[in-house]
Amino acid sequence: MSELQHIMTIDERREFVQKAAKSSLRKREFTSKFFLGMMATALVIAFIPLFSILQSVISKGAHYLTWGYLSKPQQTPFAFDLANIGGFSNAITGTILVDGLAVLIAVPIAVLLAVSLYESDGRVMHFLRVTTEVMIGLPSILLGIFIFTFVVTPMGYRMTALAGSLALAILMVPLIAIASEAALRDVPDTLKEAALALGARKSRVMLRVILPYAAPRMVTAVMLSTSRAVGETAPVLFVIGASSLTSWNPMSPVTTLPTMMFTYLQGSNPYIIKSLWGMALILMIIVFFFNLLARLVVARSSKRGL
Amino acid sequence: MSVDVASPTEPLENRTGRERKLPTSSDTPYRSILIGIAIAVAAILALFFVSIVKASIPGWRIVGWHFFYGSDWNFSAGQYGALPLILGTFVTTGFALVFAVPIGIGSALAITYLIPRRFRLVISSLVELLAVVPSIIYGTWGFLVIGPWLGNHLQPWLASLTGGRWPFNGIAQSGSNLLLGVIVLGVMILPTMAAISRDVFMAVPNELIEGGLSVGATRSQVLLKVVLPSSRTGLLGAAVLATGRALGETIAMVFLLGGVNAAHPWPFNPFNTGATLASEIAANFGNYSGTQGFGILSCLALVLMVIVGAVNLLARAITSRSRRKLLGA
Repeated sequence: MSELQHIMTIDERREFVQKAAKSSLRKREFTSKFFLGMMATALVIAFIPLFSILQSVISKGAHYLTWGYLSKPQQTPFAFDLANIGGFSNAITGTILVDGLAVLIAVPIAVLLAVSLYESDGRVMHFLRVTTEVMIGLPSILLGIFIFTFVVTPMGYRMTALAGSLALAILMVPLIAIASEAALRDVPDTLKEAALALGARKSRVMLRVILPYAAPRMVTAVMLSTSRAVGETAPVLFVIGASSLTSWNPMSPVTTLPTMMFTYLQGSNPYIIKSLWGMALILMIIVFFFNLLARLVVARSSKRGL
Repeated sequence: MSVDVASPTEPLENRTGRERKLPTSSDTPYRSILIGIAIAVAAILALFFVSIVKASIPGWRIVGWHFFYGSDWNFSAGQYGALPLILGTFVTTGFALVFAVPIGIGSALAITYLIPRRFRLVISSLVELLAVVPSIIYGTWGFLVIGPWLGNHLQPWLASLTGGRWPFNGIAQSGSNLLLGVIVLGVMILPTMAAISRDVFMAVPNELIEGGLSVGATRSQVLLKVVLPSSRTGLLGAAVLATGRALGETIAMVFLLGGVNAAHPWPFNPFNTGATLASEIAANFGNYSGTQGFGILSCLALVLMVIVGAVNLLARAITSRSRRKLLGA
């Protein structure tokens, strides 16, 4: 009889189990919500800097987007009127000159490198691929030192736009080549085999079948690496010199937007410091333009493909 | 009758030559162009490494072993103990990772598993937009927005809490200091971390997740006990790659770290100024003299190259798949 007193009725037992399950569930739901909340917080924190940067650059830079600032070159130092800072035209033309030349130098080399990475196998190529990939990760300031010793010094310490273009081209080639090689590898084997079966030579298959198919993604790679190169300061800082004149001569010293910002940030004139936001906005527009263009090329080609 | 036997009308050499050699020899220009470009690229890379080593030789003659253990870095005064710079490079990178790794992984998890599918592309594109903001703009933003905010608001408030004791004693600088550099460096490597982590999570098989859910695990249990462990390798690779980026970051750090404090060179107080190998090269490039000064800067470059090269090879060894994806993205 006494033993039986300890046994719960079926209703009590049901209640007990339900209570236990509920509290366990509540606990688990709480920890779950807690972690999900942490993740959402992480995402929000990741967004704060982007909004802060965009907000400052746009709100403080927008009124520098006038024809006066865009068309005039920078005021030479030693000007008496501190507020008269001139404009940014020398830096804008310098940026277009240096980066345009860099793209012209880099694209043919990068495409050939991508094709040769694609076509080849064996140990030598494996070594080349590893070196190319490691090259991507190397700090870009090392390129500045390389070009300084290898191009600027032999020319009698002459700083030129072309030297900057070479530095940026070395930055861009591995970026474009690795992405392009991935694009080439994604071309369906059936297309390639069909062409080979018709008796086409390898070079012809590459030119007429593989390259056209991979072209949109290769264009994207070029755009992305251009948007990266436009914003680079470190590789060009020591090799392009500086110039307050608007010049299109690749053998003359030039100033680009990032190097002008680098110089201006070291200054103390408050008007110059403020105008940094104008240059930042122009630079940002150029960089985002290429980035957006790259995304659009991919989006359009994938739509066409489907 | 075998094919190789000469017909009466044609000499033997001609027939065998056409049959055996023609198909390949017509593609010879293609192959030689490809071999040529491979050799040229390899030569440029070799030249790159050699020229940095060569440029640093006059520097090593001056700095000697003192470079690696001396603490008296002052480039313009001719003191070349670079240990504070080497430590500064690792300290800033380490603390930037402490910020960027959890936030990057957390936001990648949120992007992949939490937010509705139709917003996913927009949100992840926005996070990746941070990756294309140029370094000089981060420098400007840190120097003109975050630095003054830290100096005027956060730092006085923190100092009032401790009553001006360590780390708010005499060393503390407002404006450019290690804390400011670390914060901005963390923001700069965050998109790398987030983008690669997202790719890694995308590759986790759905069966694993569904399996976890089917045995009654909550959403966070699935993420913590199924998704994270199965993507461990990829996340480690992402972190190592972000480390490589942080170690080599130059331009923003020139302005945000403020240069080595001659009286207190060690980078162990968050409010002390400091420098990294890369930032010191850029900061002094304008004011060196002769091949010896350039050589000393090249010594810094060589040490930086060895450190970053090693980190990148490590990243490559850990994972090459997720890395290729980002580069091709």
